[in-house]
Amino acid sequence: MNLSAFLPGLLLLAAPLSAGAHDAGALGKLGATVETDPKYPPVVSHTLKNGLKVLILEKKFAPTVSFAMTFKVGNVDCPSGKTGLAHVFEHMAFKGTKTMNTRNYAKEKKVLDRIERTARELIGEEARGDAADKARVDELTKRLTALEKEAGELSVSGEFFGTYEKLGANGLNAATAVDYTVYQVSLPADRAEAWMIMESDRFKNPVLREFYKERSVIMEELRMGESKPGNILFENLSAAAFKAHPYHNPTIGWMDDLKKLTRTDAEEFYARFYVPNNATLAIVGDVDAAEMLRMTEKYFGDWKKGELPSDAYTVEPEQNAERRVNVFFDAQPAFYMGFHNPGEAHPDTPALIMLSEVLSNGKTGRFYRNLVEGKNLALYAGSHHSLPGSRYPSLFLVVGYPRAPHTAAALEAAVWEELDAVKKTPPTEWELEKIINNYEAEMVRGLENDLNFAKNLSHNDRIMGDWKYDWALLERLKRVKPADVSAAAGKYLTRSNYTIVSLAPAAAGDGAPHASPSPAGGKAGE
Amino acid sequence: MTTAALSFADHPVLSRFGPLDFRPGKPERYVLENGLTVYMLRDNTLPVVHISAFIRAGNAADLPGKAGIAQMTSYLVKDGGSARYKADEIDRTLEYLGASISGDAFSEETRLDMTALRKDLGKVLDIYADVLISPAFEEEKVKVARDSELEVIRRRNDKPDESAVREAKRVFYGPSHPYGTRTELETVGSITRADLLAFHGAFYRPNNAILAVSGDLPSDEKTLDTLREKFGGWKKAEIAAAVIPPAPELSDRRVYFIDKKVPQAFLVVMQKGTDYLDPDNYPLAVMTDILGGGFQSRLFREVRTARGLAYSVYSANARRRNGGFLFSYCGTKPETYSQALSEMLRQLELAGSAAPAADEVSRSKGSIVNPFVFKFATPHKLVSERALEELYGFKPGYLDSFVADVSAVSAADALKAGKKYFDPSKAVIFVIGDKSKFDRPLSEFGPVTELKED
Repeated sequence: MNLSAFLPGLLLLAAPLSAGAHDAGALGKLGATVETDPKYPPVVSHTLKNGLKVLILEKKFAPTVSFAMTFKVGNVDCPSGKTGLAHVFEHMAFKGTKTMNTRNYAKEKKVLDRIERTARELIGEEARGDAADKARVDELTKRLTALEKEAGELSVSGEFFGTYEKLGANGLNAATAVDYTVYQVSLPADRAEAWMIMESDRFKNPVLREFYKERSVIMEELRMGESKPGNILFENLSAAAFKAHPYHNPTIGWMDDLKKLTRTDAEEFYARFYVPNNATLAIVGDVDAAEMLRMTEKYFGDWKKGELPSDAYTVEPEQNAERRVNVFFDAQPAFYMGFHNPGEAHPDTPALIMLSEVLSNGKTGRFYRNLVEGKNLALYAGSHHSLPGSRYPSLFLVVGYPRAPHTAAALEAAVWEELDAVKKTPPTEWELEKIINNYEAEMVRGLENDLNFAKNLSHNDRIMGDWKYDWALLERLKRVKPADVSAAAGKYLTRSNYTIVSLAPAAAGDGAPHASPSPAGGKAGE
Repeated sequence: MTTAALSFADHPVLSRFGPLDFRPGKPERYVLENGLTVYMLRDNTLPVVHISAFIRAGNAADLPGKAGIAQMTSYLVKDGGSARYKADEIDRTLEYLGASISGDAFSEETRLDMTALRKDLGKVLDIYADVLISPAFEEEKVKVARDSELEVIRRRNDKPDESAVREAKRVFYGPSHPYGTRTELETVGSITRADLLAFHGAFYRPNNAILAVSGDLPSDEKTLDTLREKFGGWKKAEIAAAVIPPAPELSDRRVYFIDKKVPQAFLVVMQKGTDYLDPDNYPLAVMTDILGGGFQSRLFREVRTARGLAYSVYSANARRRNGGFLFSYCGTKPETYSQALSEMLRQLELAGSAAPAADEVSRSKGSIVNPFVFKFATPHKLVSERALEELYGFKPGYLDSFVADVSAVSAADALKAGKKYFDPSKAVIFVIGDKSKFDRPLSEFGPVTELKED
């Protein structure tokens, strides 16, 4: 359990990466701009006519290049009743195109269309539950299996993966979150053009073959998550804390929604959100920026832009309640607490970031000093100012893992004592300076790993609105006063804005319900 | 594109990229008077310095009855303070500067990593050298670390996927073999400050360590002067390396099982693997990759892509100094677990009996050789790889000829290695899952020993 993995990876303060190395003339002709303020790395920016934003940082040590393409589409954007669709499409984006993974697309397409008709009939029948016609379900299942076999003979399964692996791909992956989807890979630098060919084709001409088999793979991914205590806690916390906003839903989707998703759903989702004006591509490594821009234009220039739908989803109403959930599961006790936060752009957010760091940054953080050491109650206690996302108001998260023989209730009470202490007494100047120093050091170290830096650039540009977001945030953090931290704690970490999900051993779920654990330290709830 | 089959592999641009011609750089190597070996690479791209000390003693060096001591020592050299710095002072100094020192123990080695901004190097390096050479193991900090490790033991079955691999190793090697053992409440509970001091004294010695140094450093001469000043007083000593008995030879297939109500069944098939220096490693790496090494491997293709039975399925060769293990892993729903397990065994059988296709061999070789460059993607990765090359005792030039050695593997070589190592009739199968939902009885796969989770 390491929450620091969730921290926004912060970037460079004053990189001696030389801005002079660029061929400014060539870049200018291409319409690109180069960052020249020495406060920032010399990132080259350009937006294609179709809206695709491209960011490039030349960086030489090893002959490698890293690519990250972030789309502003995540689980929040899934239509009602189709949770998990963003993640399903991400899996399907590895299944090839009209020319990749196929022996004969014209023939294959006919079979794929028959598969789709059969699958939709099958899903329709199965959705009737107990009233479903079993014989018809069996017949359709058999037909689907036969058709999938026929389609398999017309396809080259795994060719997209295999081509990348043979080229020497490193870190080939994609990730779907509530707010975004990112596609990532690093390659030996001499084969950057291979990336252009593969990726432009996959985003312009994807063919969602093997859809129903891949859906089964995703159902296994869901079951895998349901075997992990941390996942179960977080899923229950989101579902309990958000009643109306789509952060309520797990990114993997609800099992029943997955069972009903069709290839047609995924194709419609693709058509709506996978447009160049919804993406930022970041390229970091041993490449020539002008050459990369020319290639981007050549391979991605004819990708059609589209109109993006509104993303003003249901606003979560004020909580005005304490929500307490006990999940019965065969594992040792643990809890996740959530408090609604006001969203990333809100003026209180820098103080909430500082608050989270004061509580849980390192061994000098208060949780470690007072709960792991000090009172000796915890194996671990941590916090983060905003999960699961940043596009909408989210949750200030606190997690606790008690150390036997101490109970979750005792640790919960001790956490509240820490929260109340910050409300009453502002943190010291030393505690805040330490955080600023840590952020600055992390911004330098963030530049060491090219793939992570590429992901950070594309994420900040597309989701936070500016690739320089981290520098701007640092300035906001520097203006936070100790009293602001106390005020933010008092305003947001309240009982009426509080949800806690606790894990209890499975046996506790049998028999009569117990009185809910007494919320010791209860005077916090104004 | 409507009619004729056009293979994407014949794409005019894509087919241009063959094997990557890459040779890792050679950082300077120095040996100090007390036997401390130093690999050094200066690089001023970023104002950061990294140092890693690699110690030739990891979890396999745990003493009988003291399982967990290598791990606790690795944490406590820094967390327990040193001769000249109190533990709390170290944490306050490092965390205020955004610097870090952290230790961890692996099977064969322990590493202690340091990261600092260039401007703070003097202060941080002084602490780093003092904790490495003269840790104090303050009693209170030892208690905190011990309490944490005990709690980790109480929680060790919370993640059944990890439990399945750990318990498979335990029955494969036997619970008292250094590679099969696990920490217990009694072993960790018995570890005292005196034990930690003794373990540190036995293994944390300059002649038993390699230092990898990289980043924004002054000249080699100046850096060496600094290292001599900080590490020169570290006393060498004779090292009694841990004795590792050979891995067991399996003569049949045995199934071990823990009944647990979880949404997936976790399947592990384990067999004997290789040592670091085994010449079979090149062909075996190719064959293991073909079997279960990536998105295009046979296990991934057959169990995941074609049948939709798993999200996570793979195989790997966990090499060790003496007697590593090969294993295949799968997490799958209990209602169809037998299909996944049958397919895993069928693929192991095939890997041990049939020559791989030419395109499988060429894809696997590409996927091993071409990403090799990423092991050296940063200055610190490069010096660390060179340090480990020496620490593990590889032949000189191992890294330099790695690409050529893997490229030379033929389909026949891969088959020969497959025949020697992959034989599902001699294997440990370990399963954790919900028996009430199994589609077939486990006994169909071999004689079953049912164990209790503990």
